[in-house]
Amino acid sequence: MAFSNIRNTVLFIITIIVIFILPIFYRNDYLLRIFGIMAIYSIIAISWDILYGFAGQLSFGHAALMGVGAYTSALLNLNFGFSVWLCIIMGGLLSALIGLVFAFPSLRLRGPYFVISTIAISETLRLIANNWIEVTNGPYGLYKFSPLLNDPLQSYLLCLCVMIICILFAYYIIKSRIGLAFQSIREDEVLASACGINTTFFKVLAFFISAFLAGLGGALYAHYVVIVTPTIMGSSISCLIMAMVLVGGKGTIIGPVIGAITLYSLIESLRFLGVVYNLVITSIIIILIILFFPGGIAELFKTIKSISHLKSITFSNLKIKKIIFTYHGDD
Amino acid sequence: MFDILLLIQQIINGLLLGCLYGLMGLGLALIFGVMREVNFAHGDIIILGTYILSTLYIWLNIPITFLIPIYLFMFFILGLIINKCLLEYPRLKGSGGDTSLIITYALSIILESAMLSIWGAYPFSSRFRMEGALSFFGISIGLQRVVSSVIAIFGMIILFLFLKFSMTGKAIRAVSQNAQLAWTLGINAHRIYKITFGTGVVLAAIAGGLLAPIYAVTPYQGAYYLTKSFAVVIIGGMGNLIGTILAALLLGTLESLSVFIIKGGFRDVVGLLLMIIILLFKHEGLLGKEVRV
Repeated sequence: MAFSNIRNTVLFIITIIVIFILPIFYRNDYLLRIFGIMAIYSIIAISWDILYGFAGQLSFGHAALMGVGAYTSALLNLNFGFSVWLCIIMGGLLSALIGLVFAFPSLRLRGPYFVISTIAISETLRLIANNWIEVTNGPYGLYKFSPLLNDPLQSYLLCLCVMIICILFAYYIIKSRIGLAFQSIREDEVLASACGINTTFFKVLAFFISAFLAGLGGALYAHYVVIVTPTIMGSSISCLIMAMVLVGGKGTIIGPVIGAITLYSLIESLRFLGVVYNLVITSIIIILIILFFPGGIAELFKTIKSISHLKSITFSNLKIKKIIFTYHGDD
Repeated sequence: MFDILLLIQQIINGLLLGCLYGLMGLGLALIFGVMREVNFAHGDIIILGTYILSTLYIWLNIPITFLIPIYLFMFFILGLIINKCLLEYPRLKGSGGDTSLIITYALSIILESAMLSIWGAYPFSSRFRMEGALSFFGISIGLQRVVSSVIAIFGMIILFLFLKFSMTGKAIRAVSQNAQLAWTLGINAHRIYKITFGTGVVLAAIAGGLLAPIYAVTPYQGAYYLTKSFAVVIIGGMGNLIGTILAALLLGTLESLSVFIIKGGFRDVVGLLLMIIILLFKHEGLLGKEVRV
């Protein structure tokens, strides 16, 4: 694991806490809004990281899950007048069910075949959101539902609380036997099933947890910005989520949060260039990171450290053995 | 109100559309068949072709016959550049298949944004449209569609002759069957990869150029044509070129006929649903042999 070093982890956590506390004292509505969205994106980035970084299932349609959560929550609030809290939970749950649809192809397909199936499902969902005008109001989107809370500071603190709960939840999952099973599937699925891990169950579970978190984040986002359009199910948001995880460091819990902070603040500070160039920058960052620093910021720190201490980097073979050993040692 | 003439006309339109889908799918299938890499920027290259051809036509103001070689050469070079700068390094380093997927996905976003900033988001259609229609037995088909489809079929035949008879084509087939064995026989597989990627990009560009006079395009349609090409490639069986073309004709016909049953906006769902069903129950494709995934 990239964060085996306690000191590094603590350093990162302190940095994140300081960054998220700053806007509370600065008391600027704009900054509060930006940091709130950053917190929500952290949740979604963590959910993609559970799927790709830990369970090894590459999905390019994650924004669709976020969109399902957002639409469910907004529609329930708009048509049935449910309270915002219930709506957000329902959004997460429905998104988790759609996540099972995403999981179904993963049982039979691997590699590019599976990635294409995720794109197909997410495009279908986006087309439904775009064309089913009676319910979703088509490309105009939904906007007349109730906001999260009326006070910006309280809304921000709420987003922050949900983010912390999600991080702790993800940490708990990853540190438990479930997380070890996910990682063994990522390293070698055949070997994992030969070792007695029920790969079908754990893959479906990975999708369920990931989609639940993504839907929760999406629903929170919908009530935070009070507009839902089919754009949030598009490839640009999927790309942004991927970039956040890859920049922060895949296969870590803190990584996606760091990535969300870095990338979202970068994009927000470059807003004067226009949305189009933001996307170009995001994509170029993805390419550079994946070509030259596959581990992201987390790995970068580790590499510097290992060079300075002249330590060798752990081999993946060793890692598999350790994971399987730990998994069975627990039994 | 059910009209038999309308039905026949829709079927013919579908088959003509299918020829274009076939050309789109072939580029993707060729790259996948040889390199086992999926080019996610395929759809955006198709759209880029549409824009570039029309813009060159306006700028250079030379006959279309002289323009086409320049155009195809440009896209071949573009393919070589993409291959050299983005895909060769991870391939040589031996990092997994996910790397090339993510890189080409990011590339597709870059191309989309670039087109958006250069040509704007308004629907764009090309200047050189052939007006008129062919009419027979009460059925009328747009002349431009027929001409585009004929060129597409011609392009496919050239590709097959190239793969079947030329030395390079034979080398491409050898590498696609077993790259290591091809190395031992003295075929430089890296050179073959370059040529294949260039050819795949050129096929996408031809499809884009033929699409230009028929449909107005926007930069956002890259994903749309990408999913179409994917649907075709998957239904036909990945890496299987004959299957790809048959699947393209099938998809074009089904899409044209689907407007009798469902709303026009949901037409694109047909291909996606067919693709998901094929992926789940017969993922080697309708004609494909059993492939290890």
